[in-house]
Amino acid sequence: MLKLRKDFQRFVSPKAMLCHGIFKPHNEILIHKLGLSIVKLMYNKLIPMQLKIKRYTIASLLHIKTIILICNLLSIITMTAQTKFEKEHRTKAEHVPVGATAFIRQAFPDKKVKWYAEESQDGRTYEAKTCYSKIKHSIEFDPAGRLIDVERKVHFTSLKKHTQNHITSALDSLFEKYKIIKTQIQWKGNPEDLLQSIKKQEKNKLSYQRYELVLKAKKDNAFKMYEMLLDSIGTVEKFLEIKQRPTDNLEF
Amino acid sequence: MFLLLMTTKYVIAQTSFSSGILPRVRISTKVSEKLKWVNGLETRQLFIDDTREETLKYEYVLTDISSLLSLKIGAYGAINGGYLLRFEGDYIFHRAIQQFTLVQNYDRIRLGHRFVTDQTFGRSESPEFRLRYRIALERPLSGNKVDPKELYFKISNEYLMKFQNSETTFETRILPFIGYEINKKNKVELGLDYRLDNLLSSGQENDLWLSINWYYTL
Repeated sequence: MLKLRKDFQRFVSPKAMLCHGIFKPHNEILIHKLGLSIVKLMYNKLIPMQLKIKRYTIASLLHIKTIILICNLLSIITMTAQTKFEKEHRTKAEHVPVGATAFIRQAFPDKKVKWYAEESQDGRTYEAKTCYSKIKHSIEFDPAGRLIDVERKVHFTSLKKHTQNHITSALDSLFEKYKIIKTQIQWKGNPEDLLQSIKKQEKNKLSYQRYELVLKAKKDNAFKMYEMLLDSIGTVEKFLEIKQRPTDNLEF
Repeated sequence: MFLLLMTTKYVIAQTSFSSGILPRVRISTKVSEKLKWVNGLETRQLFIDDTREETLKYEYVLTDISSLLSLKIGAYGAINGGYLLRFEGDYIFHRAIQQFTLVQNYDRIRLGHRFVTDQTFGRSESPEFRLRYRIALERPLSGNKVDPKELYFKISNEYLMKFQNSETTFETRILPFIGYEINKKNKVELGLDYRLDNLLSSGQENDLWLSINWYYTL
């Protein structure tokens, strides 16, 4: 009985949800208090009920999965976006950490690469931009020259059908209307695996893949621009509002 | 720019030419999530005018005070409406303005489209009605987007169709600017405002203004 309670607690508690990838501990995601209180309420209500079950049955597991899915949906519905902060400027290769330039030389030996120094809510980074296999690539490094991620600009419709469906379901829950402006596939992993992925233009089994979207969307009766990071089952890992620069000089 | 100067030189030989400075201030404030209020002040001061006896002479021409309300439509569009008062010599002109603007964002550039209709009334002249379209392109001079303390380049091209006294005339304007984003609420632009009036008729008028714009968001 105690084991079952512990298992359930491990599986359904908010901490467990972080482990299962349902709520990501990303500082960009703000889960509304209401969403959390509903999760807590369901958890408290369900524990005694689960205690009555002597054994871990398939039915109880399905029940738990349904709860998790509902919680996932609630977390999406009650999600609010933080404002994106990003400042970047062109920089020369000689001002970039050696590790970063070495990786780029290996990955794109004959390609012209533009370097940018960036400051955002994630800290200071360096970004290399180039075009390889007719696809725009952005490769981000930390100040020590360690690889952070590789992003490839693609068309949303080129993603696998089931991924498209999961992502659009998540977006449908969040927004009244939306239009995807930009889609990037993001790869993370160790540099060797990512080097292979770049060469083959295919995700290595050991690296993981996320989808970064820039979209124009209507939420709370107002159209805004957003940047989002989702996984292939539509879990939102990053949700930022892109503040538009004043457009007065183009309008008046 | 070379082409512009050459064209100007060619046209100057046949028609009139004037030049001066055109400082502008635009102050906008957000009224609500979708509504903003934009106020403007603009003056014209002439230094060169070849239709005068004294071609080179300082002359204050006019001051415009404008006030517009701008309603945001969707993520990129806005409908603007307002009023302009022009103080020119002893006269005051009244202009009603209606605009639709659209700003498109691309990887490195922003494109602004402006469609305007306006109606000008004054005691000294017959009413004038204008249709205007302007396209403006802005791109950063470093990086992929304009950040505070960065320079940018902006070029605009405007076409005007004017109706007055049963006559229709055309005007075109080219405005290359260098802008500097002081911070998120302040930007200044310095550039040229070249206007070619009576485009398809004889007696073309050329105006070349040195323009200084200051945009401030409250």
